[in-house]
Amino acid sequence: MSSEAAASLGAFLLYTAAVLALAWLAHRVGSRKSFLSEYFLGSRSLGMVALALTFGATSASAGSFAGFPSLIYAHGWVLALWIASYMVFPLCGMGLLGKRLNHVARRTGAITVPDVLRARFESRALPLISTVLLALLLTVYLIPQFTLASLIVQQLLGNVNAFQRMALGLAHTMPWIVPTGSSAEYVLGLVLFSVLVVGYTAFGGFRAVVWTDILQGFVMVAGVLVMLVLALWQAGGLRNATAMMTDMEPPRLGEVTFVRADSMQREGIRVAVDSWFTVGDRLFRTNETAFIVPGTRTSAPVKMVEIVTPQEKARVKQHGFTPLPAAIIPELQSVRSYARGADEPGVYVSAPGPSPTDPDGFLPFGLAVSFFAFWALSGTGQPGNMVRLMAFSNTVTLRRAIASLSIYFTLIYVPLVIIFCCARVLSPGLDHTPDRIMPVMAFLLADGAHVPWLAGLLIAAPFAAAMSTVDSFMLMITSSVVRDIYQQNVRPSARERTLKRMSYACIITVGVLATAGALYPPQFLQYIIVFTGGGLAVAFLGPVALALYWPRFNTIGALASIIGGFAAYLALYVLGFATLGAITPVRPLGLDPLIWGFVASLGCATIGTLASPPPPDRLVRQFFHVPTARTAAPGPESAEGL
Amino acid sequence: MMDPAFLRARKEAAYILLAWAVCLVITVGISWLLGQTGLPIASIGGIPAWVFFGVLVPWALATAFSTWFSLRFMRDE
Repeated sequence: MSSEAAASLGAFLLYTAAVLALAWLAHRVGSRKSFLSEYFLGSRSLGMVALALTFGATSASAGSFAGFPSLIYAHGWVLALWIASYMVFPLCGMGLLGKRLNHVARRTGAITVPDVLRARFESRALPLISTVLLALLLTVYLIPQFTLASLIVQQLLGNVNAFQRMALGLAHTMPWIVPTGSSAEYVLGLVLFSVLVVGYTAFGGFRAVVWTDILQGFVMVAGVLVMLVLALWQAGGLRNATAMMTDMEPPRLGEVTFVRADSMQREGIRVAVDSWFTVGDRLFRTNETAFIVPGTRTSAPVKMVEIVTPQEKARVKQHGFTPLPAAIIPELQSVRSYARGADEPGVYVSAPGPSPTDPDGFLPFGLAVSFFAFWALSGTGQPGNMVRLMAFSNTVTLRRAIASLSIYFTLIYVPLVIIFCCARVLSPGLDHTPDRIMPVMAFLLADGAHVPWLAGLLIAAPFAAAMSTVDSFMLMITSSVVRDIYQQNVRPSARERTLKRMSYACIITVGVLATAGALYPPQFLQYIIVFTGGGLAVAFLGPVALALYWPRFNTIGALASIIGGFAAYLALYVLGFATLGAITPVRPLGLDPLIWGFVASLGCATIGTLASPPPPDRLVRQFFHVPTARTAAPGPESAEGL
Repeated sequence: MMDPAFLRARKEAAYILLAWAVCLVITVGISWLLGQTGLPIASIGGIPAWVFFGVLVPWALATAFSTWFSLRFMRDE
């Protein structure tokens, strides 16, 4: 086994063992407490470290460690502006709703977000609609997360012999499980991830999710900081890297086929991914593996990149590369320039950044404003984050967690921008498949430092990010079904044992559904993540915030807010699909649908509320007045720090 | 009588929204004024000047503000 493979396998096994041990411990601690509050809220006992890291780890999904690095690599320094609202994310995400939501949830005994709405409005329709919307959007959200996680497992274990043998065995014994267009290794990676994440989430509940989030939070920040030091060292310092980026022009993207020049056609030929080759004085790099199968002369077209910056070409040639064998001749199929940035040095260190498809560039002004709203406000509106705010033990915990998370996000996102700007210099020519840049950099940096086992730790970071998001969302879907639909609407007198069994069964079912959905990997993963994440925020931020802070807000206003906000958001996507023929929304005034969704949500809430009678005095007194003996909450629940 | 804890939380939420809006205006404004393609690109310690003044300095100030706000300004219930 190669040292790279051994490092990856070692990191994976160590990490898996740690996650399972934490789940077992969580199960032991939790089994002595009341089931529902413990299983879905950890008995409301989150401490400072737990709250900060579970909030941070849940927010940082696989996209943060796969999608975000690939965007930095593809578009350069402008990604610092794209992600900039993380500077106020902890303050907004936790501070805007945290104190009130926790207070109200304790006073009413609410365990889920629909629970809070039910108590505040005494409505059956409102929590039911919000539960259905929440469960649907979260289930859709899980599919791309499972897909990304499976790709990460594939990258992590793809070189391990045992993994390859198991994949081969799977393809032979159960060929029906490998859909057309997928590989057996992808399916095996998916199954491994699903079994692990479903297992520890079902077994340990919220407490296990939080404990593993803490582990995952530390793995993520350690991986990023180690990468930062190595990337700066190997790029010759940030000054050097940025100077080289200033000279860079975007490459040309295209396809190439390889033709065998000899007459020997019995043996197949493989041209590895990332192979360099020249045509005259032009320099190219393959971004996919090409095969010339036995009995044929030509490979299928594969993606390639042409480097056009003279300094970059000179640097690659100076480092040297293995030329293609003389028996293989590349034939260029198509080569196209970037829509924004071609022949424009400096485009990687300025705004709006280069784009292969959009003449306005990657981040025009309207989108820069939209994304500043997107991260901070959309994060505040995620029900997954709201649930965490219902689970901390006291306000001191919240205040310290905000301060800690502000520093934590600074340590994650600013270094990521620097690392993957350095990646443009260290590993040029991956622009056609930039999603691979995270593992490519992990192995490159570990090799350069002569510490191969480090690659395992570095790749564990995105795996941890995927897990920490998936476990939280599976638990939330389960709480919606078991608590908000079954216990509140079907059988209020259900026994604890029944609820427990239902919860286990529900998590397993959600896991199986997400796995089945991910067996046929959807296209446009990032778009699905953005669409569902935005949809949840648009549907929940307005109604929950107004329910907490506006005494006059009533059931009609809340219903109008949820339906109006989500309908406006959805309409802009549907309109985009109908007119542009792609999953690209219409953006009036250059602003993202999320902004218009928020505007519609607040507008509908205001009109709906003012046009209908105010809520009963009793409810207003219960939620907004000094507690009296009649309206006071049940006594504080036991709090044993997580 | 309105609950003072509610009034305090609402006031804090209003300040947080204001802080977000200020950060938005400063970050996007400075970045857009200094960072557009075609303008001369200065660098501070290897970081493009527009990123330094438009993103990193506001980020540091926002982190300092968040820390002060949460530890000093926010009140316990």
